[in-house]
Amino acid sequence: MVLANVITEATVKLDVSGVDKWTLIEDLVDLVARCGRASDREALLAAVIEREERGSTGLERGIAIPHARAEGVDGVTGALAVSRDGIDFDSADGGPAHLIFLIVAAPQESTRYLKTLSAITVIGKSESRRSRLISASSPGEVISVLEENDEPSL
Amino acid sequence: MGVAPLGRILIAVDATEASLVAARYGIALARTYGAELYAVYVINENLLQELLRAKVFIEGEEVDLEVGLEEDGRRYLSHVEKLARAKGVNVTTELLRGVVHREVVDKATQIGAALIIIGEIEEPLSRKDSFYDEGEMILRRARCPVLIAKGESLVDDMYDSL
Repeated sequence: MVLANVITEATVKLDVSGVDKWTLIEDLVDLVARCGRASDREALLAAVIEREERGSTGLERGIAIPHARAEGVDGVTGALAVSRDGIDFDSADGGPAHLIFLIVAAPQESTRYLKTLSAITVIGKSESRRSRLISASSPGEVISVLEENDEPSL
Repeated sequence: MGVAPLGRILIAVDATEASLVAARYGIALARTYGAELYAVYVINENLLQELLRAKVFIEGEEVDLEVGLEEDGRRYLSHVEKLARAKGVNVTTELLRGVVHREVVDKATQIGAALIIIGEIEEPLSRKDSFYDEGEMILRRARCPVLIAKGESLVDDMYDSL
């Protein structure tokens, strides 16, 4: 599963509200660092902020994917903030972001990084998944939705 | 009755352990049947463009990542060469770019491959999942038999016993 070991229950933050996107990005980076998945918290935060300053990672349909590659990151990892109220993320469609996925990777993990970003966009296209993620009541429920297959396999 | 030789085998390598299982299986088959072995790694330019269109990437960001993908490709192909050399098998490797399944199928046709070997296809997040599509599309579009190398420990036993 693409997202297995990228976002875990320990890196899911529910009921986020009343923060700006810069504070939220810092909180998510802290979450990843506290889980031992990034050895240089400052370098990682700087990389994510630098990318965000070049252009908002707020997409359409309430999804935002702040992301960066940085030294000291363990493979590909991430965190997810869920906000029912929504956070202003300067999104492409002007709407608030409800699902904010921080995705970070070591510089030599380009393929898995690309694959993970793609997986998030796939999840973002499913209205059912988006709404179930937004209304999830526990990190475990979030992980179940992230890891499920929405169509039968071959 | 004699067994027809396999001729040329093409391994589709990507940055997954599953594709390295495919490589080990291909090496074992090539050594056993005296086949010529080829391995390709395709930089998924299609997906880079898709993420650019989805505004996940800003202009220029995909260029940086493409350099990283190229490094991944060279590293994995070099690893396959090492695995093959350890068993006395020659492998011709090539880094390609474009739409993954199209490049793999075209390369197989170009070299006259008798078999394409791919790694186990991951459970898809959805049928819209591009990586899932690539594996499925190789199966659908190939003009020669395609083998999915499943069962890592079985393949490892086969490779180790060479």
